[in-house]
Amino acid sequence: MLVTKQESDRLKKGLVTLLDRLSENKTISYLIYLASVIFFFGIILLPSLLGVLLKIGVVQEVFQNTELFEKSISAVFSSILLATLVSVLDVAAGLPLAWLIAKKRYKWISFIDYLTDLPMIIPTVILGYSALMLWCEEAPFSILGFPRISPGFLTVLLLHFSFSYPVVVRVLVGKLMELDATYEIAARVLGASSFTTARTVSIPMIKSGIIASLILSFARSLSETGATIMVAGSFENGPVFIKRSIDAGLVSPMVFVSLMLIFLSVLILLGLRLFGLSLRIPFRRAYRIELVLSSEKVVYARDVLTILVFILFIFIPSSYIVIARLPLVARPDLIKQVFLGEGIWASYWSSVINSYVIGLLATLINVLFSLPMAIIISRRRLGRTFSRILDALSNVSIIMPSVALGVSIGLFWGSSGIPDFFLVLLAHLCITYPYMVATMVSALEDLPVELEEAGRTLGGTPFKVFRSITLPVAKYSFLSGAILTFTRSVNETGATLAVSKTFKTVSVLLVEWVKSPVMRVESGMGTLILMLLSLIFLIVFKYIYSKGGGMVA
Amino acid sequence: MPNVKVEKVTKKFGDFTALEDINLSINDGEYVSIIGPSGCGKTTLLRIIAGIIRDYEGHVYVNGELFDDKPLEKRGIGYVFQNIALFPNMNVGGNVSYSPRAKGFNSDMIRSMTLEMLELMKLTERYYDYPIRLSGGMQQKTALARALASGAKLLLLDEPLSLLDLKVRTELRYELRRIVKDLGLTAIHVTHDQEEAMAISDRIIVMRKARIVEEGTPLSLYLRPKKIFTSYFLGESNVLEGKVMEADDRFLKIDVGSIILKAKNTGFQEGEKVVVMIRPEFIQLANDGVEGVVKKKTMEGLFTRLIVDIKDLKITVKQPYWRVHNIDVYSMVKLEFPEEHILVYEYPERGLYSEISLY
Amino acid sequence: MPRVVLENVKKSFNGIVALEDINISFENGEYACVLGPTGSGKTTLLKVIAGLVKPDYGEVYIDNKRVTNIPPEARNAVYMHQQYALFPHLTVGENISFGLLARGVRKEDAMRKTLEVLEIVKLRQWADAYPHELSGGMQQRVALARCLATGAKLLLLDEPLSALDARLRLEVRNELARIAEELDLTVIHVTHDQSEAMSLADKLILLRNGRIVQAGPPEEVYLKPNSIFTAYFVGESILLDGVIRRINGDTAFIELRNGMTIETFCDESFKEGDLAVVAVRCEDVIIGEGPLMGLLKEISFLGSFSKIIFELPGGLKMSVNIPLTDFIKSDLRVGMALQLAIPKERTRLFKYPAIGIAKEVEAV
Repeated sequence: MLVTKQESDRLKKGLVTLLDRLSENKTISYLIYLASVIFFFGIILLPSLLGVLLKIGVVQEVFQNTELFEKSISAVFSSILLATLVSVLDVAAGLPLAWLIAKKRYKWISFIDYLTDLPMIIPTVILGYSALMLWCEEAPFSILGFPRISPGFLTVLLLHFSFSYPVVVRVLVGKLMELDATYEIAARVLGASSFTTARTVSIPMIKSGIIASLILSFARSLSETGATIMVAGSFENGPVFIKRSIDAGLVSPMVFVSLMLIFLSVLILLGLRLFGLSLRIPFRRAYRIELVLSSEKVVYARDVLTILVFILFIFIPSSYIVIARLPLVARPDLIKQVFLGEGIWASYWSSVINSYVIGLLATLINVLFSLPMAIIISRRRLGRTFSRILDALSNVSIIMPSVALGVSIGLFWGSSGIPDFFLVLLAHLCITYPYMVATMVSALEDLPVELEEAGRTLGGTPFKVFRSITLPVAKYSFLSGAILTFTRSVNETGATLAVSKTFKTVSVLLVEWVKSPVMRVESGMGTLILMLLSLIFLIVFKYIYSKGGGMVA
Repeated sequence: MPNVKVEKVTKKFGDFTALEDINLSINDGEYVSIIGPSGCGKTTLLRIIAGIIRDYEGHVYVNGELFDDKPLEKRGIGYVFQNIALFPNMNVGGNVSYSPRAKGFNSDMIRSMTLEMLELMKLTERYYDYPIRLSGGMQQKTALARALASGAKLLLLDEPLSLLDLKVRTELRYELRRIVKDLGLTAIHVTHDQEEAMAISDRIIVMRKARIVEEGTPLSLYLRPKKIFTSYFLGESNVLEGKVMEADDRFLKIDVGSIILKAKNTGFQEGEKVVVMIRPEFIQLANDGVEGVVKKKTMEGLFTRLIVDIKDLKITVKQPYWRVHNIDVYSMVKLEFPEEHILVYEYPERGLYSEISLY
Repeated sequence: MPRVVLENVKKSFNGIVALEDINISFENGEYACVLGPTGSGKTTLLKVIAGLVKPDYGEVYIDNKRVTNIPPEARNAVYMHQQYALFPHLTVGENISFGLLARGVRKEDAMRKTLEVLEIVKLRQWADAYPHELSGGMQQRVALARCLATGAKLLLLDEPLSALDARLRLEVRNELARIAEELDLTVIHVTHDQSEAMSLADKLILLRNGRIVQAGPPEEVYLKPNSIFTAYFVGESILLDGVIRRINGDTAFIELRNGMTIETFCDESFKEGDLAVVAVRCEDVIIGEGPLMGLLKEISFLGSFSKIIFELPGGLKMSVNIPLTDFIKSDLRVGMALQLAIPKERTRLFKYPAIGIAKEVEAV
């Protein structure tokens, strides 16, 4: 040991004192804010938009080719239709489950609550593969009379439903838990049945959550690429079309579809936000049917149906792969091969490392740059208007389809000769950035401002207060934001595919394996290993989340 | 017309007992307040009567009808919440008309019931305002109108005024009582504010630690409380520990340290350890009495408070300001303790502090 | 030693005025109460002194030093929030030592001081508990201890008692007065409760719509209100409006709305024919003699005093407070017709406000 513990302690203390002193210097904090704003515009926002915008000229080629034009338009239209259907289905099926979880009507519901996070944490390519086997290849439900489905629109719909559903449930559960129970009690005491109460009080009061759910599931459906390719068959939506254009080396349709997707999604979501918030559900009077709908029997039937939908369309499709592939891959020689990294497994492991390195770097860089940004936004450090604009802009890439974003970033940086690794990292930074900022902003906004004020008047410098009050109180929210960012990055395929043909993350690799008819065993094994790794993350995430929940309460 | 009967109600939350064997009956047209320190179970009791809490031991009857299994939306009770809980997505009119609409009345009836209540609360002009635009007092008036537009004859009020400014609070409480009496309602009002309870109630129920301590009219509870806690909680008291020096059929002489007090004998023996309570406003300044030094004088409005040291004893005296105008701090005064207002209690087994502590 | 001076302080939020023309000084060792209805700007005033809100205009001095641009941590003033703002992730002991450590006190000294203040607020055995394990009253004491531990001599309290039960509030009120006196603190205490303010304050500052209405010792504010708002907000007053029919020297004869006439003192700023408002304290009305006749409509008993509502001819309502000792000796019953008098020397005369009495006394 070169440095004794005492020395390192002294060093640490010295550093902290130094930072404390520096924090009193306004110039330094403004320099930090400036850096984070430059990072946001230079790395995140402008490349995501300018890449395609600067190439707008090539779009002409698409207009000249009627067949290509029609195919492009139909791909865009399919994407929008699909995303609309998925988001509506998500809210329709997710609200009753969120209700069940939030009201804790049954003791075992916390178990379901736990399971709903499963499809959120495991990479979507696994879901895709699992869904492919469940609905198309092995079709175990055929004994129940469900027909085998060939890959196409319906399978894509089912897939998108299953991976976006948990996000919707999570958002709605959060909103319902925040809702003060007094309002519902007030409505009930005033004579409203439970259904009337939900229709006139609870649902209008969580309207912002419902709109957020619609936006999130819409955006996720529009973005998802890897798993969609697996189950798409001949069906072609935007991302699939772009991927095929990339494979065929066609730039103009790629730019055209990306532009259309960005334009339409921004338009639709903006409309949803504006129109949705002013939408009111009129309440003239209670109807007889609502009494029936509130009766215990109907409620019970609704609960059963909700759970059934969850099991059939969410839980089984996401976990079917284990049942289907575990017997196939549970061979000692294969396991040995896998763990020794022999043959094709060497590339598997290197893709896993790629994914994790990218994920880790993206998370770290984002934490570093989005923390000052979150402070600017939540504490209005650079003036109200500017902070508001930043807030709105930082959310733009959430609603941008990730393939389109990838295309744009590829075009923006592509000619500069940056190695693919950095291109992928840049793409992942853009995609995960808004998630990180959003979590941090909400954590900081939830933190009572009085705590910081108390710290200051008790004599703490801004940095001391941030270090010893703000961070410890908000740390679990920050951590869960970091983990979300990380898993989002590991799951990403669309943008990765768009920026690089050679650099393979594990998700991209698995898409290729699944598409190859001769690699059934390998793709099964690869998927299962990834799933196992993700489960570990799920457990860590849940632990941290529960800790965070405990702190807030 | 509603009367309420609560029979042997016990409620536990895990290991914590919120209510223990509560029995009470409330008459038709009566305005009853339940008071006690926070955590004494008063709100739990109100929520049980409303049907918000359903699993408890014992029974609740309204008008003789067993209410235990009746869902809350069918109880026809008006409930006013501490945090007001106006529906933020509806305007004043929407809130007040909520109950008639939820009950599926026809539109003429909805309109007339709503307008009648708004009229009564003088809120008609605010029909189209959203709750966020109203002051706290207005919001609570709207909430009251909403509760009454349900046609309820039994009104449950859960600390309805405690989040309002003091001035608004004092004005609204008289309005509350006026409306309840004008409409011939029965009201149960939960509060921790003893002055509020005394000002508006026909009867007060004092609770502490999940049990009912004592009940009675405001005046009787204030002047002749049977329990030390009631005397302590309901207004201020000088609390003194003492020992009975002499006891005859009519009077006691009690040594409370620096002075000997004369009080009416309500069944005590010589040598007994007792607690003596006397309200500060009953202690008079007189020409002859016990001598003490004024240590502190604060004017609190109608009353001026004097802290008087009698040797080791600190006595608080409250007199209308005009009567003590010319008394200065550090001057000598003579105090008289009227025997009819000296309350004597048995010394509690577990000590005085545990008897009066609020939690 | 802390003496606080505010000069021409102005502050508005999004165009809404929170403070306007604030000129006030707080003397060393003074216990000042800032009283006002919700939205009168009292919390903003306190935060301006603490440094948590920067005034748009004007200066703040503490100890004769201009502190307007000095951050809160360097002001040697501690601010206690209404909701206490205890740090949820720290124990009671750690909460209290926070301010000491932040000011660079050595750890051992901080520990010693922490135990010392825990002793003052009688919570020594709770040093290792977390805030959520304590009752509201105990949390309040921890918050106070945390402020005291810093050794700051200027204590800024924002509605420190309002989250407590009414009965507990009385107990803690006395405790607060004791501690402030023993430690020789300068305290600025914000409240909307006039009885709390009157009982604690050496100086009372009444705020309304961001402006100071009246400031002075509580007796002075109570006995000599300078405005209708003060008469209404501090203590209880009967406000009667009418026309000045005749002025005779320093006596004015006011004809009330119901045709009755009462006498008050007046100065030369009033003229015959002016509209005016007569204010009289509810306890100053004499029952049983005098020129007015009232019908006893309602009695409500409030503990140490009772409130009697009389109805005078023309539907005029008059609310009279009488001490309990007098009430139980009297034989007042609803339905009695009684003579009433408003003593001339207890009245105050004000100009009739342009916006009407109701709007004038209604805050905001």
